[in-house]
Amino acid sequence: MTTLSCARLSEILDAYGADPARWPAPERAAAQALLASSAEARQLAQAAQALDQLLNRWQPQPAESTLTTRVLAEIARQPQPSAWRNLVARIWDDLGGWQLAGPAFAASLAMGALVPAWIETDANDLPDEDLIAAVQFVDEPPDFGP
Amino acid sequence: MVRISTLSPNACVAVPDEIDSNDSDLAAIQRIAAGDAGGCRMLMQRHLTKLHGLASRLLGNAADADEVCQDAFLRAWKQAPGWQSGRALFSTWLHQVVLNLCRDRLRGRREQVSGQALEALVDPGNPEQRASATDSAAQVRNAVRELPERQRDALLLVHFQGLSNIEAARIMELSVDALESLLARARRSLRTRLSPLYEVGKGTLK
Repeated sequence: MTTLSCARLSEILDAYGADPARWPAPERAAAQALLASSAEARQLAQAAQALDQLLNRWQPQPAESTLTTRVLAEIARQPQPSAWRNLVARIWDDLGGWQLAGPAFAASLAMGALVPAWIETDANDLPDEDLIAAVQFVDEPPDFGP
Repeated sequence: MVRISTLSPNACVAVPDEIDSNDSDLAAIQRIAAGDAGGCRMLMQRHLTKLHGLASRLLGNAADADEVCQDAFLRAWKQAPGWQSGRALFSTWLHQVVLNLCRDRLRGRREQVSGQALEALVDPGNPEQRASATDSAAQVRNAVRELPERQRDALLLVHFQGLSNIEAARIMELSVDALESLLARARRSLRTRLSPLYEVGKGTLK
């Protein structure tokens, strides 16, 4: 068993209080051994215990006695999702779920900005000069001069 | 609005393999997956009192806590068939659901009564909240509810729910060190706030 300093015991008591059940499991045995052997440690624990006792005065209100029956009745009205939906949900979660929404939105914004720019570049390309000449030739009225 | 995405069973952080074999809720989850509502009854028998205690302490209102618990177990009914064991304890997920549902309700109340003291958020028709402010339980209740949200939640999970530091840290998506720091700050603050209830210098209650 590893030993524990009074300073570390004090940190444990500060955070978790005096009940060993709440202490970090790997340090519990060492902390209890220190308490058994040190008067200073016991004094620290006494102060923490007073706060624990005070906190324990605040009891929660009990649940409505019919709550379980109500929940079971509600469950009977609500079908479970199909195995197919569960599979889709699992794949969605494995891919990152809604955490993907931010990057996907950013990517769509970037695409929205870049694609019109590419299209605009193509539209501004000047037609081939030979093509212009050919069009001009076709459109030119025939020369019927003497 | 509830952030369902973060409540997905699969969104819980990875945990060691021994968690899987120690999850005493697996039998109930398997029954639910087979469409047997008895599995849900098993989960409620095991967790309802504790989860209701958490919701009731957070919301200060048994009726709201009833609704939150009903919502949480309905989610369990719908999501347990897709549960991937080995990633987290089911009870960790249930605590996460209840905590998030309560936080959403508290935020909703704050938006409704913005700018008023927290005392104004409690239900005046509730016997617990009608308790005299001089009552030590009422003073503890008020002091805990006025802690910063993360400190309050850490204290509720570890002190009142009796969860291990590892489980509470997982529910709050924190490291154990960060949880310990929140707990220490919460308790220090409570010691100061509740000092009138102590025998000065003796560390004992009046």
